[in-house]
Amino acid sequence: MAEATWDGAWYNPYAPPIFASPAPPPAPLPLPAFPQDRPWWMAPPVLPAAGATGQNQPSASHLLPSGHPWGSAPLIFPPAPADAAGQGAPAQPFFPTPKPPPLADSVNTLPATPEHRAPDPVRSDYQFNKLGDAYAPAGMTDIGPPLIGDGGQLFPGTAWGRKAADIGSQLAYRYIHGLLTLPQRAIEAAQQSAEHDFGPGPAAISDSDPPWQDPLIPVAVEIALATMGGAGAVPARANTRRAGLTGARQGAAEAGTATKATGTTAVDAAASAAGRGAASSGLPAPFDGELAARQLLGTTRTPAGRSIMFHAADRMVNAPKGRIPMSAEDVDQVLDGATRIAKRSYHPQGNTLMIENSNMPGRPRVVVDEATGQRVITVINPRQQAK
Amino acid sequence: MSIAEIERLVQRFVSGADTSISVVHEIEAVLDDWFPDDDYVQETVEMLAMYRPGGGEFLFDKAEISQRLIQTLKHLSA
Repeated sequence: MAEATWDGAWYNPYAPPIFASPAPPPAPLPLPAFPQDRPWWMAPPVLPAAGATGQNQPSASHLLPSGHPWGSAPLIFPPAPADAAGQGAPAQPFFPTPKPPPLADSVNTLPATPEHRAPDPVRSDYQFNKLGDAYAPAGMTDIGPPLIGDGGQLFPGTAWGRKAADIGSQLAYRYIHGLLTLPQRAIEAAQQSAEHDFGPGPAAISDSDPPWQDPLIPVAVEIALATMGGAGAVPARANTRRAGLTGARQGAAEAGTATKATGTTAVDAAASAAGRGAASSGLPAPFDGELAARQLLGTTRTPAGRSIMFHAADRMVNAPKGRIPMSAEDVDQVLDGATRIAKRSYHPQGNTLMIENSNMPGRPRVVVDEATGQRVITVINPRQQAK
Repeated sequence: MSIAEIERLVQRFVSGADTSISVVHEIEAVLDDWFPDDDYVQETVEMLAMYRPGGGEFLFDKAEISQRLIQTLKHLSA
């Protein structure tokens, strides 16, 4: 496929025109000879020869394109000296001098009146150019109106144009206004959101309302309890001020000794607990399964060196209903004396194996990971073992 | 405990009324006692033994256990 190219000529003002130029104007009509019955002052002006500027003549920069000074009337020179025939032949053939139009306003670009724009079949030095803003020197070709206007600063425009400009200006004003007021509106929205979640703030409470108390205290209590562990199930969430104080009291009671020992208020105890929790460890506190397993069993390893995970340790110590406790030595005995792999199960984090020792009472089972076989995931020790 | 009782426990867990680990342990014990030779039920028992409300490494959470219990009930009623 041919690659499309663009030479940029359509916008380049110096590029040759794409469209054909208008047809050249017809050649000037042959001018008639100066009638001899006319007086001499009706003859066309005869410009002085080039370089013949005298002391009283203006410089070239003060002359019209036709050679006349600005604001002066056309000069009428006496007829040329008689030739050999004794007749005073004019230097230039006679043609009617058109009425010079008034000087066009340099700002107003309204088209000139038809009177001024009417083309003259015979061009003169004062012919009004169709551009309407200047006198065109003699000999210039009339090429019609400009292809690109200058915008017309005083042009009143059309009704739809003015309406579109009005709408556009209003839209621009609203956009800029919204842009400038965005930070303040964001602050107000955040304030309303916080008041919705944690109750009204000090600025939104009137004098008739009860004294305002910081609603973040019960939230801090909840975080502190979660950090300290063991009390995570206590919902100290506060959606209102009253519920917040209730949660604070519950949180302080769960936190332990602070309330009983010092006799301070629940809120103070909660704040104290929150401070201790935040100071003791980072927030939020991650669950440490190894520490929990060690707290349950005193160790995280079996005598054979297998790792006991927290869930298995929990079931070994706190046997579920219908099960009996199981020691770390029992786990090693099941795995070392396994009679069969009861099941191989899929798990997103890795397959697991259920190992069974049918020689032990109750046929206990231990679930380990398939990859290493050294991590005890859970145990199943049926009650039949006690029989 | 009858099948209806197992269904009641499963319904409590699946509906979210009680997703505690004790309920799951109760279902696990009953299924293990009643269907020791059913491989499908034994696999369910193994999964129930690996249930933890928040999940964990090599453990199953509520969503997985709920789906397995529903399929187990369909298996038992078939």
